[in-house]
Amino acid sequence: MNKTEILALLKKYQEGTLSDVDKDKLEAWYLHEALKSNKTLTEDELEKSYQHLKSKLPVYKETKVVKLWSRITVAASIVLLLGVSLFYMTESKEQKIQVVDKLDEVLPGGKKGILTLSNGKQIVLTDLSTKDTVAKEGEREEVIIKMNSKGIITYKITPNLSNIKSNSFNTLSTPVGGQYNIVLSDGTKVYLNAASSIKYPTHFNGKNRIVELEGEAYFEVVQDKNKPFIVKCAHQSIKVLGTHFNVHAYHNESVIKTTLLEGSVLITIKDQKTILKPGQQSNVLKKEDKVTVLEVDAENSVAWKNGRFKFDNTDIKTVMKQLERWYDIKVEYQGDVPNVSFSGGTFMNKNLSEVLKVLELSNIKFKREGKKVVVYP
Amino acid sequence: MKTQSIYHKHADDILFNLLKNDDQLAYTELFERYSVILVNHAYKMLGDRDDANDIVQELFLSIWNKRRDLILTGSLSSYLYKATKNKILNHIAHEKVVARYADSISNFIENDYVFADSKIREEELHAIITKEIDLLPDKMRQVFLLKKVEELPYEEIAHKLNITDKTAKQQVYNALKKLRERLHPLLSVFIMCLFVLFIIIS
Repeated sequence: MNKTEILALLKKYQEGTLSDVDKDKLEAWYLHEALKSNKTLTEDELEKSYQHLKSKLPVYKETKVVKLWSRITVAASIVLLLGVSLFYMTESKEQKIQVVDKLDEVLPGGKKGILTLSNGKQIVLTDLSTKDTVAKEGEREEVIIKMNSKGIITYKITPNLSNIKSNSFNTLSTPVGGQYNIVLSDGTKVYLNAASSIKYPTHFNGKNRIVELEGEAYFEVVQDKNKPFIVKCAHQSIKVLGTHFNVHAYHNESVIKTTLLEGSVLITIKDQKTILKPGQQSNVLKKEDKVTVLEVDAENSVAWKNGRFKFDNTDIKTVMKQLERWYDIKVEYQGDVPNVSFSGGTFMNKNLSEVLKVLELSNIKFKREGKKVVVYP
Repeated sequence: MKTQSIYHKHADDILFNLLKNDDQLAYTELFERYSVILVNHAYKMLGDRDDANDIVQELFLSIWNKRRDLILTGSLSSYLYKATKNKILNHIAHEKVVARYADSISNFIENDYVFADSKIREEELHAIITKEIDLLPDKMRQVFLLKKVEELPYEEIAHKLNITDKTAKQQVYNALKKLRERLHPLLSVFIMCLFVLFIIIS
């Protein structure tokens, strides 16, 4: 048998399609090889391997000797147990101690955002504890930026100063592993997904309401027939009057996706114009500036704003890109990773390992080393 | 190498059942017992320490991740050896690696191979496990207590360890964990009191 034939034999073994006789041959060879091999590691090397593995695996790390309880200590323990359990129960969920996974666990992202004011000043919204005025903008401070009790940023214009023509721009950006919500001065709601940014005027006083997006956002645009709302991103612009839609436009992905939930939108790519109806999604291939329109389950596209990962026949690379942005991890591919598609979903507040476990049900494996995840067949 | 409390004296199958119930100490004890011997075994086949480490790391990680779905048909040690074997054969089944083994495999299949049924292979596997344990440095071999532990019936171990006491504690631990997750806080405090009282009385 030559190398190619043996490789084919091994592949069949992997797939479980090898005949019983061939399987026995291979296993017999394995046992034969194991018996005759006299390679062995020294005690020192074994000890090193042991320590290495121990540091990588979810084993219990502290040696705690469990002592047998005497009847007396049991009585004393009641008081202690009550105290401890009350302590646990009054603790918020996030603080619950996870004995099993506390080591080397990658936690999910959360509500994080940075607001850049027109003067360049940056405000880390996550750190704010004040729930009131965050900043003021405009020549006469006619725009007041507030944070409401839910942490959402809002823009309020002082009514008798609303005709002021001068304008200033703010940028809201989210880091990897962050999402943030904002209400613009016209009342339009914007949900910004991870690793994204949106630039907008603090006060819409021109003919159009124009914002610039990089990354992913969901918009609930307040209707104003006289002032179209325009979302500009690299390669396309979206013009709407009043609708709900999601824009997925990351610079490191090859396709821009716009999904319409309500109303209608007009998408312009260079000279091409496309109108979407609710339930439709446009895919713009950046390389060719080519548009295709698909019928989709629009809810899947906005699952992220409700704290869910939802996949509908989504390919592995797209799925992993989402995880990279939410868990701040780096994903690498090793060997011939099959082009698996995922359908289904899970919650974004889970730790990475739990999400990977769900994905592993689809015939694919992951190896995690700190913040690096290797995908292999 | 440290031993982990009384888990050290549990038989493999008991540890395995505890593991299925998310017991991290049981998992740790199984790791203590088998990690070194499996690394050495993988090294025998692969001749590369990093590869051997990776294989065993992968194996133990998947055991923890799939703990609830694992089912044993034979002994735990042969399960672990078989799982390691699969991973090693997977590793060999790569373009770049296969060349090192191709001659050996084809030579064996064409000249030395004698057909045997699965039972004989199983026995051969056991012979290898025993041999590999025997070849380990003294100090490390003691950690496994493998044969002794495997052959003791449950009742005997239970007797030796006074296991009813231990089981009660495990139950309290499990119950607390579940209560904390599921029940209304005050209700669970109440039930916990009952539990503790129950233990005192018993």
